[in-house]
Amino acid sequence: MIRVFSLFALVGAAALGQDKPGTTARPSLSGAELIDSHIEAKWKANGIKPAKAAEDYEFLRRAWLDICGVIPPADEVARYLKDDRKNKESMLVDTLIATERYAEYFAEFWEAILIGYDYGVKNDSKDALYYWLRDEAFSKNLPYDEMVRRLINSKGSNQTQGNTVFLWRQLRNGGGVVEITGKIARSFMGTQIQCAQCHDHPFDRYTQEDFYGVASFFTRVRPKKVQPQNQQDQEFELYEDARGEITIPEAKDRKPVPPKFLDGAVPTKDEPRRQAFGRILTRKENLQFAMSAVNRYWGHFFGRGIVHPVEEFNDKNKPSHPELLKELAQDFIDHKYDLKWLVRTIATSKTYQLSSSMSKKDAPDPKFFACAPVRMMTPEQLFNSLMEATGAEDLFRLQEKKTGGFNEVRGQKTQILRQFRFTFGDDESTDIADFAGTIPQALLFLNGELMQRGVTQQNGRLDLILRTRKNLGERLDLMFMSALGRHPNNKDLQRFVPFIQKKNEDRVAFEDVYWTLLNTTEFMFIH
Amino acid sequence: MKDSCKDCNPRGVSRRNMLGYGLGGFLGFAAARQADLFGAPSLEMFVPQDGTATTRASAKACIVLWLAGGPATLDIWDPKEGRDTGGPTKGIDTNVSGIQLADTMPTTAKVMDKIAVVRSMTSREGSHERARYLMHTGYVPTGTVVHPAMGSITAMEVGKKDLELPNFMSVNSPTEGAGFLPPEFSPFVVDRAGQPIKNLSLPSGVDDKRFRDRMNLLSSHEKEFATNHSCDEIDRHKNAYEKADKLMHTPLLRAFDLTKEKSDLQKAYGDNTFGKGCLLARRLVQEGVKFVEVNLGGWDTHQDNFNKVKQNCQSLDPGVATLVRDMDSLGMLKETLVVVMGEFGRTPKINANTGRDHYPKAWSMMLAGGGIQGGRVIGSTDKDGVDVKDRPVTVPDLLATIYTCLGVNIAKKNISPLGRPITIVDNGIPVKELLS
Repeated sequence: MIRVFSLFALVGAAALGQDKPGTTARPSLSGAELIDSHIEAKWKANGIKPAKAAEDYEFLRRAWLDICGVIPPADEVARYLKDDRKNKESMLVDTLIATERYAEYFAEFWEAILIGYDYGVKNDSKDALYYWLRDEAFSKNLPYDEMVRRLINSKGSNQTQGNTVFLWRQLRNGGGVVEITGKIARSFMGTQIQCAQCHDHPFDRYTQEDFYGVASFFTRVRPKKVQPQNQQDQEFELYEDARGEITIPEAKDRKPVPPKFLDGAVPTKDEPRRQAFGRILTRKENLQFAMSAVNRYWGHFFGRGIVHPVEEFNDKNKPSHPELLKELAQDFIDHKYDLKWLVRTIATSKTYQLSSSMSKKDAPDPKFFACAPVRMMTPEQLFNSLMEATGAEDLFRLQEKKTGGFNEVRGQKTQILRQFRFTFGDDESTDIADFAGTIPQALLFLNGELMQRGVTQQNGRLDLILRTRKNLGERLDLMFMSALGRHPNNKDLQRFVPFIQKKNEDRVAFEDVYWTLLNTTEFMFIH
Repeated sequence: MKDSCKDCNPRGVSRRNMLGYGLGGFLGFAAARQADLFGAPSLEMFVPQDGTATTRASAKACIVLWLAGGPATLDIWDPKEGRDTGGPTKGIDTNVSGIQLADTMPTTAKVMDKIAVVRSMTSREGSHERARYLMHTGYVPTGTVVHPAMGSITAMEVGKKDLELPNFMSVNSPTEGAGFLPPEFSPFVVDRAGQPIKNLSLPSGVDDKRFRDRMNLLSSHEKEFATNHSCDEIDRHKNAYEKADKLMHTPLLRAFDLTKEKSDLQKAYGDNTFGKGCLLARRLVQEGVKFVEVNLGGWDTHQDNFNKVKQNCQSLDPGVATLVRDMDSLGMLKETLVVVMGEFGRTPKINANTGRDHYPKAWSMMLAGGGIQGGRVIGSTDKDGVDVKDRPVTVPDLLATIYTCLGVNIAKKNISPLGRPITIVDNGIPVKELLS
């Protein structure tokens, strides 16, 4: 079949720059400047007036949530607000990406992309994948291309080799090779090729042959049972069989479809199929691989991708800033797929550092990225933030020091997190914002135990504030810093001070105020 | 064609090949699909496009009794006594002459005149997750679009907007959700029938006066944030809090107090979570709830199938029969649709562990009330239960039937987040023989 593949049509000049006279092979700008120049050019061309730059407290809270998945602790807020160094934004970002929190959070982020949420019916070695992502990938800042190759070409036990869990889970879900193929295309290419399983794709140029060509790379991956099935946490060993073919069910000749990537690349002689796929997928020439990652991270930081939704690259769904996407992807490749570089680049851009404060009528179309979006937190962010604001996180970390095992404490936290994911998440990691706003969520916050204990717990945050600060103003200030990451403004004081005074500065009045702060949109959303 | 791309085809074959497929044996409904192939609209032939279907609704509410795990329907609705595949299960007469059920369902056999059994269900999804998704949405999972469950569609299309209870409730277990529909149509989960609902009552130490104080403080803080920020989620957040507040204080919560019922009736439903769930479902429907799903698990009988099925039926049989009888005596049955189903059936072949394995090819389910003609069996399997012998019914056909009873226009298209129209039921035709 001779034709141009849509991905490569999309990629266009940037990827194949050398072959096309008149186009520059490399962007002249790099990193944050590259982002800002493209974004500003589009504002100018469309007469868009962007929001003002974010206040320090706005940026601080947003950066913590997007990079570490949690609101900043009150003392960090105080320190940052007092800091008057010129480059404190980029220093903050550098500090954040060096924390354990960064590795923990992006491990959770990728866990959700790779295998989705689990309601906790079965354990199925989900944790092993998390630990692998945290310890092998994000703590060590493993280059993205290498991380993906290890996820694709994984072997061994799902209990000890966490990277095997990705493929093993797709197999367990019952869809087999077909499910793996669709999942890999979505996760690492941002494309939906699974429809081509049954029919040629109506608005991508994929054919059924394309689909089965990719699927053919995965026909030899097999799980071998190590423990009997009725064990609670099954152990399997993933291995590559020497044989295994796939045919198109509707094809008359029933001939095996040989492995062939979307651009025609094939394994070299004797190259094992999965290894070949990892190599072919992550070649520098396959700009789509880098674009998909850059777009996913962009979507994480800006609430929407340059291609939006982030897994919907196709001919009909045009990127808002095609040149930016291509150049940033190339820049990412030039920086050896360094994910920390990518995070730093996005977070230090002026575009990311805009305020979210704009009234509905002034707010420009979100696709211009001219105002920081207001986003519902993910279940992980919300959970982590609530743990932080109520002091439960400190109590947990204390316990962790006593018992010595971080993983055990994570087990306990996971139990509570599951309820959050169940109540706030959906089972795939699609746009979480679309799932905000159900009655059970509201009830969990209005009356739930975590919330109630959060305001009454001995040695919890509020308890400590009330015990160490005697002055009403100081107390209120610290409550705001702990929950909302800012000092109270005059309107806040007018609202809360009389309420507390009317109740004779009784403990319950402070509980009610703290409860209120934790139930606000300002607390539960990223802005 | 384009709009059904994400959904592919529930049968897993392309529509291009449907002609051959149809001629392969399903001539009965192939005709409609051939019409589709040749460009003529198919569903439109059966469902009015102007919304008049709504006015003909025969059911005001729906109760789904969900048999999680894939029930061995040969040992419930379609006994094969005397065949190797029948195992020790025997057939027993019902109160409709000529129709037998399995001996696991003695009480239900006495209300056969009020129920209909479909013995010719057929699908292709043999994994729990995928089949559960299919049975609840009418679509196979595809990874991008998350399709809404029947309960969510029903809540949105025909639910009471001002009801202080959620229009879609799931009892004893979570279920498939609202998918791409707004979150207000998600199922409200009642963890365990007969027990207090999680987080519905105020935490200890907080009385209603204090709760009001908190809510007032909250709403004044919220107003200010909302004027300075723009985002639909802020409104949703507010909306959810208001609804939660209403739910906490509505007198309709009385529905949850099962002790209000006579103890004989409670006993007849069964002193177990499932029986209580059936009774709760009836009480919720009485208060105006549109769609209640009650979960009964334990049907994944790879081992020791016959004992396990018998044991499960000790909950299922009285639950179903009492629900049908009770609603009938209250005059509710004629306007309440009852559906009993699971993910798929189980293999006719009995395995080495005296178990039966997953089998989506030929299986049974049950319906009653709400416009369903009782005392009927639709379709059949062959003598060993291996293949559908006549009148195959697909999952989309079944959903089309249920929606039609509820007055939901199955040809309506909802718009997915990507702006793609997604038909409520794609490629399904109501089973006319079921409708009275």
